[in-house]
Amino acid sequence: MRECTGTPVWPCAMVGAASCLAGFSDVGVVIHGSSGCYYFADYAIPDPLYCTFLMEDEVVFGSEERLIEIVEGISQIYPNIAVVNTCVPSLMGEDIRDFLSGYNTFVIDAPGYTGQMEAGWHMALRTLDASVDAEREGVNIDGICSVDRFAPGNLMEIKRLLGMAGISVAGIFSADTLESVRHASPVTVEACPALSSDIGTSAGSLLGIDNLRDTFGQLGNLFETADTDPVLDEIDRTEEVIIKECDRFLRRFDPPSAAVFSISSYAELVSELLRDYLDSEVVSIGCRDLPRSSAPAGPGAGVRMGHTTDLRRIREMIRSETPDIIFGSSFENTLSPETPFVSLTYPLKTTAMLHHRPVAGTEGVLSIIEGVLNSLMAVKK
Amino acid sequence: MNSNPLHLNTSRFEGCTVTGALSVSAFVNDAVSIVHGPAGCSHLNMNLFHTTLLQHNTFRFFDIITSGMDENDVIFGGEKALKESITTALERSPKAIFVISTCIPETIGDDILQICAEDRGVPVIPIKSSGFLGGSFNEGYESALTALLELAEPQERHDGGVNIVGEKNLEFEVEENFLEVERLLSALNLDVNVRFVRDVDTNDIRNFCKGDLNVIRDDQTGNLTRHFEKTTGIPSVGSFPTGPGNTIKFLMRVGDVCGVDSRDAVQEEFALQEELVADFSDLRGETITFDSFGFQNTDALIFDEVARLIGIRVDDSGTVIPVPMGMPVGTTGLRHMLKQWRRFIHA
Repeated sequence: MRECTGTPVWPCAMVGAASCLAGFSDVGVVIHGSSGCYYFADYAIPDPLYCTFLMEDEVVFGSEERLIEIVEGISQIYPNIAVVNTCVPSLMGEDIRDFLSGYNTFVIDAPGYTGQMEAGWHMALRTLDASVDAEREGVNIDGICSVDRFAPGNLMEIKRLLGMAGISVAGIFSADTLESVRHASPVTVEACPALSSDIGTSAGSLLGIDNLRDTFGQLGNLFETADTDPVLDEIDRTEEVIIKECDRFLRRFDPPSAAVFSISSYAELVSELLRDYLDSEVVSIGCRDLPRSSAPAGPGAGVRMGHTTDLRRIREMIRSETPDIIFGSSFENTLSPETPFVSLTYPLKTTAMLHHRPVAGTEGVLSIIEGVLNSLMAVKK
Repeated sequence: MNSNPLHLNTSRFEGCTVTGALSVSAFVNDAVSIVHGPAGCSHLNMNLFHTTLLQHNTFRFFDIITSGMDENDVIFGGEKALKESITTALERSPKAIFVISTCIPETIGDDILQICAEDRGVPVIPIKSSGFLGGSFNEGYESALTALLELAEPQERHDGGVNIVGEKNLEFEVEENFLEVERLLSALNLDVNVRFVRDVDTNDIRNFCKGDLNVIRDDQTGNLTRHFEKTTGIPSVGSFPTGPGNTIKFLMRVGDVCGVDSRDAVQEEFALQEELVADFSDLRGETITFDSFGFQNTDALIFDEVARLIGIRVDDSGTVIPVPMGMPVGTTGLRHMLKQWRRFIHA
């Protein structure tokens, strides 16, 4: 069944694949396709990208010469080159691997018609040849996707918490080198479980208070030399701050109803925070990706985790439920500019976001609650 | 970014026909545009338009829908997906549907013309595009303008004013450029008939042929002028006026075509240009040079003319002035440009 037949608000597989691969500093990424495809990928992905900028002639007569020309050029810069096939080159069926055999390349067939961004992300992960090295110390960090504006903040925050516990960082999917993730640690923590690499055994997610406690508890058991007590203390203090501030809000105002639109992992996180600390009713959840479960986002959350990337459907959800606060992208913000809004997912064009704001870790939780209270209070003044 | 950026290859970098076509068709208020291809192609363009309009301080979305082609459609043909998306579009009760194809249906050979030809009670107009296989942004833009002209109805009289054709809806100064042309036309006592195509209804387009002149935004190839003159019989001016001399010539040419005495309007414009020279007299004697970043179109004649008018010397040793993305339109556009020159000179 086609994933979206309305007005889609989420990028295609090609962008996900390119985003994953461009996160590796020793990989040059070539979009094998037209300038239209390249410009969009380049717009969404902050890392450098290259392109064959295909034209009709090369589709008719073959793209070998053009592809070699580009790969030859960037092979002077990068030890590894990833070629990401867009729709038409994928259909052409050329034996790209054969005519690039003289270069250190790998090819990812991620045409847009194969699915959404996260599908391309997972396809790219599978081509990395990443594997566990039992001798590698530390933990891997999963789910660092450059299209996600919160990824840099998540990475900084997770490194900080792991450092506080005396645990080193091993492979990062994907903000690392290829060499590093090909010798990944046996243990992984997740910044965004929806983008999990499935490399190493997961010690858990770092989204939300409960997950943080569980995951650092688990890490304490797995790493004998680790001291997770300072982190667990910080988690407790963070929760106290949140309870105090949310209680101050609830002494004056009713619990806000909320609509949440984002990748499923973040939607689940926000829904749980709102339920646990603000007694909120989450009236709509629209996941950009297919959620792993369609269960309600936690007991009492009321609404099921549904998948939608259709702008018109999102508009209907917002209009019918009239939430007090919306979490999402600039699309949702534009649909209802008068409703208090908290940035949560790509694209974010209506609000400035200059610093590296996390959603993971204790700082991430604080940042979300701070955003909720400030945006709600701004309209109640 | 590309190891072969020769002039011969510049069309490699000029984007996709789908974006060009949508930059026209999406601005018909009561119509729906269908992008026949994978969902990502629609998202790409919808996102681009959203971001661009936010920069114009405009909070809105367009009715762009996708046929959402997936792997099955690629294998078995995308015609079913297109038919379904037309059905979805019809549920929104549009006055017209525009079908823009991406590179995938072109490659697998979907018969889009046949599907669009079926009677559905509203016009379903295919716009020749085919993603990058149909050319670049400009080809899509021109295809959309010529395709949407199908909505125009023959008229007995051509005295309804001036048609503004092919405004670049993604251009940052699009509204300011229109207002300047409207000001110049108003100096000749001429009204605008229809903005083809910017925020219009299909009914506005039906009245296109009431116009007695087409002013085309920018038709360097002459394709649009030829097509519009041949199809509608309405004479055309092939570009918005850029530069002091061209602005005067524009007034005279429009006056001639519309049978209006342009002498007063021309004198008023000369007076405005003299005022401009006086307002920027502090720049007299300065030295500047232009930076086109290696790819922008430098219409050096216009810049030299403006520099001479103000009394600025152009020399490689001078203050570097970035070439604007679009040439300044009319005397008002020159004023905005000179303010930028002043900022750079005094920086």
